[in-house]
Amino acid sequence: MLGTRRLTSRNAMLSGATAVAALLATYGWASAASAQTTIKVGYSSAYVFDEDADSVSYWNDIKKEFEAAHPNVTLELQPHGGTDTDEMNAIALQYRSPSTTPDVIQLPTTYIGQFQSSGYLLPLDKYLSSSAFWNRFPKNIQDEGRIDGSVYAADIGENNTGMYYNKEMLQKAGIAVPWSPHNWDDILTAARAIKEKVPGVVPLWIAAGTSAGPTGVLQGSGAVIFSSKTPIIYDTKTKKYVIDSPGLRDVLQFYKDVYSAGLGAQLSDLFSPKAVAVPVSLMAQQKLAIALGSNWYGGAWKEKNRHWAEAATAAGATAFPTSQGQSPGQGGTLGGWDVAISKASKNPDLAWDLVNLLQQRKYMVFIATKAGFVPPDTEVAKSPDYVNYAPPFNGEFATFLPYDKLLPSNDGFAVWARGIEEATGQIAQDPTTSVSAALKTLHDTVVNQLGADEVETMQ
Amino acid sequence: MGSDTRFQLGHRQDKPRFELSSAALLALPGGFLFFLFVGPIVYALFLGFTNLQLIGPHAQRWWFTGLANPTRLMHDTVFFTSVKLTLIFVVGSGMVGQTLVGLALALLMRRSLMPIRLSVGVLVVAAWVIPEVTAAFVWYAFSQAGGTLGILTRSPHTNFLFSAPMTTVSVANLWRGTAFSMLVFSAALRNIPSEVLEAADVEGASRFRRLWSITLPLLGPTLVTNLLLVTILNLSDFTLIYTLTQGGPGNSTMTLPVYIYQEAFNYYELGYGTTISLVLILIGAALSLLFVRTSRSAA
Repeated sequence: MLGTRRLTSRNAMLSGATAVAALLATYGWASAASAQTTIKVGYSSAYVFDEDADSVSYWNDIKKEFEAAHPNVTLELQPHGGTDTDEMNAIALQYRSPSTTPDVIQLPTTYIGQFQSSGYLLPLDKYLSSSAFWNRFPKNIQDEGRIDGSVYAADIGENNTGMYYNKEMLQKAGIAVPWSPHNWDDILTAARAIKEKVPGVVPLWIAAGTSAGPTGVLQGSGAVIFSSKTPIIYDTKTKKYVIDSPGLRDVLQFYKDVYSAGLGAQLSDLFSPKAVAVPVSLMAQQKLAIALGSNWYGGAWKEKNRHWAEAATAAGATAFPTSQGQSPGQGGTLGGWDVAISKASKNPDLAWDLVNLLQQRKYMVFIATKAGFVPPDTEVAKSPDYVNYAPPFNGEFATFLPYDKLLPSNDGFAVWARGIEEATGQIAQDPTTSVSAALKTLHDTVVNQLGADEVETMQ
Repeated sequence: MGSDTRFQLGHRQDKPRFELSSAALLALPGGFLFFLFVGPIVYALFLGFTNLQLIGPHAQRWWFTGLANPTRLMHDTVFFTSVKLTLIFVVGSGMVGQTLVGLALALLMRRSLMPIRLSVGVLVVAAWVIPEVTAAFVWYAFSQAGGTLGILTRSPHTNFLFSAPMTTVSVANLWRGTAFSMLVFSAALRNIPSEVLEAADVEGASRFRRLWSITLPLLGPTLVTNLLLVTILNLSDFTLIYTLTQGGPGNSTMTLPVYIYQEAFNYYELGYGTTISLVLILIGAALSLLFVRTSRSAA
């Protein structure tokens, strides 16, 4: 019995080894037979475009064109659902192993610094210098991918900030249109007049609270900070985050003025997880007079579910002014979606061909109109295909672009963003909160996470 | 030679048999156990003392940082808030809330008519078997401004996730998780011999007296086991709170699992997030030991 059993187990082992050998042989044969190269691209399928169908057709067209131009190459599309943060988390996990790392990734501007500092991205300078499109990008957009002198990511569409207003409501309140406020007091004056003379509408939307994450800063408080006396969030000289400055104090006082006079939106709307999109719907429903918002509202009003047919004539757009009208007169944030090549890519030249394809005019116009971006290429931004898609807003926001500034994108920004959002949220929730108390909230959150030596007070 | 003696004596059935040759066979499943369970725990223990990031300067270049993370933890005010909130959640919503409501339901259902028992059972268990994220969305809609809860309490403009966030998530969790305790207690009640209760009835014991002196003492061991399981289930609960509030407004519902997620996947501090998760393991282990002790002394 014993002997037989041993024999059986040896047989089993032998046959196991044969199977493994056979498997290896098959695998080797298969990989030798196919000279097919695969380029993998990871992107956000649910957050970039307004409608998922547009995302599908955009990427399918790109795949078709890329594969037609490169016969033995397969472009593997790797869509990621959820928000921008969800996409970044999924891709960050893929980067933990070179075998799962995609060749090309689509990433929001605020993440470039973190991926670059991880050592994950390939410098693109040698490709960009010989490319046709790069020279047509304004310097502030080129700079969003530039770290320590090298460029690691190229923009494919920008978001920037400005104000939208309902012309009829402003006129009812006795304010002349087209409206162009010259300082923050002009905004408060208009909002107060609306509160008094146009009952039942929210006078002014200005994002507060933590619900939208870093995007809440990009499309809200960041624009106010960049229009203040000290438009600095991260001091690049000292490499520290600013947690107190004359400008920040003015910003929080502005929030206090808005919310203590009851000029702001309801807290449940401000603090809703969908807060970023709320002002778009409120304006379409004639429930909101003025919004500090993002460039994509005009395109969103062309959609079915938040349609506002008269938007082009009933609403106006204007730049967000500096606090006291000081030079340059207006300010805002800049941050969009970029594409980058992984350092781990085995085929960087092919990856570059894909990046280059994404920058072609037809794709840039498609994503700018269907996702709501200002095209980074100045010629495309002036082109009729783009400007006439959502007039007058697309054209207006393109003119704001040179005044807009980038948010920091290093690994401390998520913490600082949370800190400032807790501070603005605190004021919106309880407008009796003093500016110093709100600054203490910012200080406590940032120091608690980053440490006391990573922050500074600016005079 | 060894086999000779064995054949002469025959197999002894009264002693645990161990043969050296079987050690080799046992090594395989033993190794699996080690790599699948002990390995990750030891690895996590190690990661908790490093500066590993998901993305950032320490994503690829990370190292052992000694006591840096525990020191940071000791000065982390959000962490202490988080421990407090976790205990409120586990004790208030889980150990007290789910256990008491589950027990009450089980007791009442025992005495009720078949159709009522069946329909109540189905309803309560339904809340438990639907995916947690679905339950969270139901409660999100229920507690919004203009939601059913606001209409019922005649305050239609109140957003309860904002005005009373911790209470709302705790009640939502109680609603969702009660079925588990109810099922455990229902099963235990069926095992209480009816003769004992009938005898007490004959002796003229009141209904309350029978519950207090017979049913509850007999349920003792079940109660302890249930508390242990409820604690483990609630301590690591993430989905419900994250879906409802993401830990907010501010940090007012930031329980440890949500805070760990925030550190690891919003701030990308994998190392520090792991340090906090080690504390969560410690709290869980301490509570479990307490229950096991109690159940031993009770038995």
